[in-house]
Amino acid sequence: MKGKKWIAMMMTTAMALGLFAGCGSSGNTESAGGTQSQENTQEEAGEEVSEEATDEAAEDTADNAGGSKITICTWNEQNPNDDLNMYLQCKNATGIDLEVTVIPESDYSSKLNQMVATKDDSIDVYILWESDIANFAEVDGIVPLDDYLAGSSIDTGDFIPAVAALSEGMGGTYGLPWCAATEILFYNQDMFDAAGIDYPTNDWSYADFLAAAEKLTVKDGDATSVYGCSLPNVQTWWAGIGGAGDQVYDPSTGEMVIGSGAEEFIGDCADMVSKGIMPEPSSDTADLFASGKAAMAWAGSWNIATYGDGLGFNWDIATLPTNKVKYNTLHTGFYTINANSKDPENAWKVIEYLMSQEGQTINSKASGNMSALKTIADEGAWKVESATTIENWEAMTDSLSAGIFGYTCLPSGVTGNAISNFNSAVMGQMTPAEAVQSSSDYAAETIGY
Amino acid sequence: MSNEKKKKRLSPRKKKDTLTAYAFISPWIIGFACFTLFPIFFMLQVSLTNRKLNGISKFIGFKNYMNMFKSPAFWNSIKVTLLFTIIMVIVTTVWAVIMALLLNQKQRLNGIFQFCYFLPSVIPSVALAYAFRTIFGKEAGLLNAFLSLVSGKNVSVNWLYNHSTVYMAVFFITLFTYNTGQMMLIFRSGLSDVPGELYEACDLDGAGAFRKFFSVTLPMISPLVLFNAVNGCVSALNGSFALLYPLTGESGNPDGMTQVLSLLIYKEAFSNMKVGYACALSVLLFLLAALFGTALFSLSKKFVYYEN
Amino acid sequence: MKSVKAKQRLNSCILYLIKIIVAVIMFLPIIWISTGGFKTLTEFTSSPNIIPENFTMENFSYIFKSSNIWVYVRNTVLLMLGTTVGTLLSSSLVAYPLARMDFVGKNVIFTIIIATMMIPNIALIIPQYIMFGKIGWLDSLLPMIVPAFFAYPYNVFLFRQFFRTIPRELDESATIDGCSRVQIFFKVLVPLSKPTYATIAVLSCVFWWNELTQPVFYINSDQWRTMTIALMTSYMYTSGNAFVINWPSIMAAATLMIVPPMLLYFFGNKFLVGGIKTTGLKG
Repeated sequence: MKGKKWIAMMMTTAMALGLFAGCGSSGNTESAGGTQSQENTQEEAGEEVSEEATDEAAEDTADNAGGSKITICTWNEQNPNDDLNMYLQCKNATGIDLEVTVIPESDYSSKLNQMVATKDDSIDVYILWESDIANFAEVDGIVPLDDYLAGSSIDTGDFIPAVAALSEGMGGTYGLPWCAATEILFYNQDMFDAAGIDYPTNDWSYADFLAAAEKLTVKDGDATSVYGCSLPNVQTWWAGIGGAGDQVYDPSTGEMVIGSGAEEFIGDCADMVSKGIMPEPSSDTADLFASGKAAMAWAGSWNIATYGDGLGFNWDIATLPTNKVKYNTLHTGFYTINANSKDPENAWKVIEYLMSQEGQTINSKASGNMSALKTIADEGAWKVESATTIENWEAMTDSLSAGIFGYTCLPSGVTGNAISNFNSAVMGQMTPAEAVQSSSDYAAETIGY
Repeated sequence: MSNEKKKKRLSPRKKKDTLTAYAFISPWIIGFACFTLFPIFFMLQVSLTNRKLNGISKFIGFKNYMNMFKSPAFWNSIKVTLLFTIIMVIVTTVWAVIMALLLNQKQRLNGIFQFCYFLPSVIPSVALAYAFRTIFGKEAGLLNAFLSLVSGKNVSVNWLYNHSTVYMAVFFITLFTYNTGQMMLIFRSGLSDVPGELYEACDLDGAGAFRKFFSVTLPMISPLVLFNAVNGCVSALNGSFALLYPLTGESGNPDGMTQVLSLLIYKEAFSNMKVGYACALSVLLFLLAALFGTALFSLSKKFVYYEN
Repeated sequence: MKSVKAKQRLNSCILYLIKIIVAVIMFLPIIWISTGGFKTLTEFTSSPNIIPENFTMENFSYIFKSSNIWVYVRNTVLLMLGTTVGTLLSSSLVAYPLARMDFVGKNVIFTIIIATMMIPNIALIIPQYIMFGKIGWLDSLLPMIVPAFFAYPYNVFLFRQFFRTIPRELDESATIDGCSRVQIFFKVLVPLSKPTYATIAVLSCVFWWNELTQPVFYINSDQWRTMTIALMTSYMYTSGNAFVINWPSIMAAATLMIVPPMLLYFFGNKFLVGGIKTTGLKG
């Protein structure tokens, strides 16, 4: 008897919950269903998610009737420090209840494409990647911002030239760049001192780099205890390949173009890995530079803010060493408004704040990324205060002026596949030439689909 | 003969029964039509288009299939899927039998042992994958540290990135999956159902533990082995995604060695946005599953012992 | 006589030893996960210590203070209960006539059910994904909960096997008492099958609590993330840098995720082992 009751109770409660789930989710779609319950559940869900948010924004929402809610989508977790959290500051400044949805970098592009395909309206402001913005504009997933821009103080003529070039050919301005990040060389000054090598400069050559990496490596018997340089990461593989003379991305055809340069660079890395100068790719993806097990690292400029003063050794930055050409990939993302947004006016207000002097300054301070607006960038808010050991700040400006949009314009499946091949080549599982060939074939097959 | 007569005689009742029966079965019929049959036809249709993730599509005939059969990534993943499924089923079944046999030896503390053996299978596969990515890590991995300690030498094997060790590592991880735990429980109850007299007869013959196992235990639990193998097959095809996606990524590092078909489908559909092509791949995965099913059932007719 | 006893004792010792070794191997990931949650990121990526050197609660406090954990838990619980209730109801209903009634087409239907058991979900997920996209169900729990109300072949099979073990005479005497088939099902079979219901409920709960594949395909926004998805999204990266994996945070969240199934095991232990026993899979 007891058991029977137990089952019956469980079933009924669960049934009720199941129904609730049903209604709650249909609240976000146009599918048929009781309108009454839709509204209720949506409100409920909204409340639960943004409880904290409403509390904090409550102070100055008075002028914004009903506390309109805007959702923005990004791949970065919010800054834990309130003063450096631009979304929170945006909320305070505009009174708009801004909610942040974080989708990790690894499937960011994919999830956003799914959303646009299903005309999802849960996100109002997308930060779109270089590879996606044109496609989104093409299927009318985002709205042109020209009308909004006409009545605003944002000067689109002030953008760094590469950004302006990327938006050409779309028939309007669909997005505004949230920042301009580059790739730089991070180095451990203590290790350079110990090895008696001069610090890298902004006109370091690739040969200088190779020589230094070899000297910096510390061996403990057969095993390496300190690597000369960490393995290129998903971003800087392409910087190395571009530096070795390949075009990487051809904007006129949208194709991936790698060849002899890639073979050369992969070959160099494979060589260094076999000599123990560079680590092998590893499943635990430890940051060896940060844990003091690698003397140098090629990485994104946003790491400056991540490292701050938390590394326990002296470090500085320089531009990536120049091989055949000076090359690094520019990174940004574009604030865009979802064409299905219920409240584009407030979405624009959010973008306007984030692009303003204040918004851009907070972003630079928090992320270490420069503003793509030249006048704001010139003020230097991107010189992260906590990174006290950095002296060579010109490395950032130098890199930025050499930076171009490259691999970031390619579909993530293509670049992911290529990195996977490069890693195999580094492990000696295929030759660099095979890796390049197989990556190019795959890219051609995919991009031509 | 008599049976048929009986059926005929009961015809009116049977008619009513048939109606009632179909009323009971109707949920499944609706579900089967909506969530299985329709998707199958839809999949076949989409596989003939160049549908992209954003919904734009055009009929392109068998071009997806032609591209697929030319693609080395596809053949590689078929190979990996076959290998992965077969070995995973064998490894996990054997391990489940071993654990069940151990637990079947009545000793003290069996409750604790069963807890230890079963609990890993309730860890979410994501957590398991991440745990093992770090346990098998090269620089600060637990396994390398342990081996270094035992051997006194500096061991730094890159378990998940070496051609020679990656399968070992991955199959080791499958021992901890939900499926293994479930199989163990099933075997455990199956083993305790084996009549004790059979063992006694063996004892009289003076048979050793191994002979006992192969001539009594195994035949008696063979229907369970089949059931678990079928189930394990589906889980291997299905669950490999949940394990490998967080473990080795959608490209199946290293060198596509762990890129099972489900990972390739995900990658093509969502990273490359080639939904039409992904559907063509799904058709192949479907056929592969059908192949496994048929093979297992025809095997069962040969080897499985049913006690009526 | 003595030597036989000594041999038995030795055997038992060896057996214990093997059992302990297997237990250590099997339990290792759980220890690694649960201690990992108390480490700092630097320690986690630079040393293989099992016991954390610098014990920190930071990861847990991040999870409870700065993340939407209760939303994720709500979603996971909804998903788990919705699918479990759905499959218990529908699968047992479908299994009933298959086990205990004679009707036209029974064998065909049973064969199809067995055959669909062999179709891995992942093979049909892309067309289902497009389909659910068209009716606006993406980014919700509906694509997972609704199909559960239309019977899972695997659970139908388990129910059928159990229903067959209940003597048919019970049905017949109930029929004589004037019960209809529906009444027989609810009044005779369901009460007798409580352990089976419990077993399948426990298995289903554990499965859906841990399910990753389907949510990966269907869930986009934070609002509907389940714990498993949160583990590889919300808890995966360090704040401000989308490329550094925050292992301790993942481990802390994973530790929390293991607790409910562990409790379920403690309370549902007898259903897990006992239920499957009576289910009997022969024939």
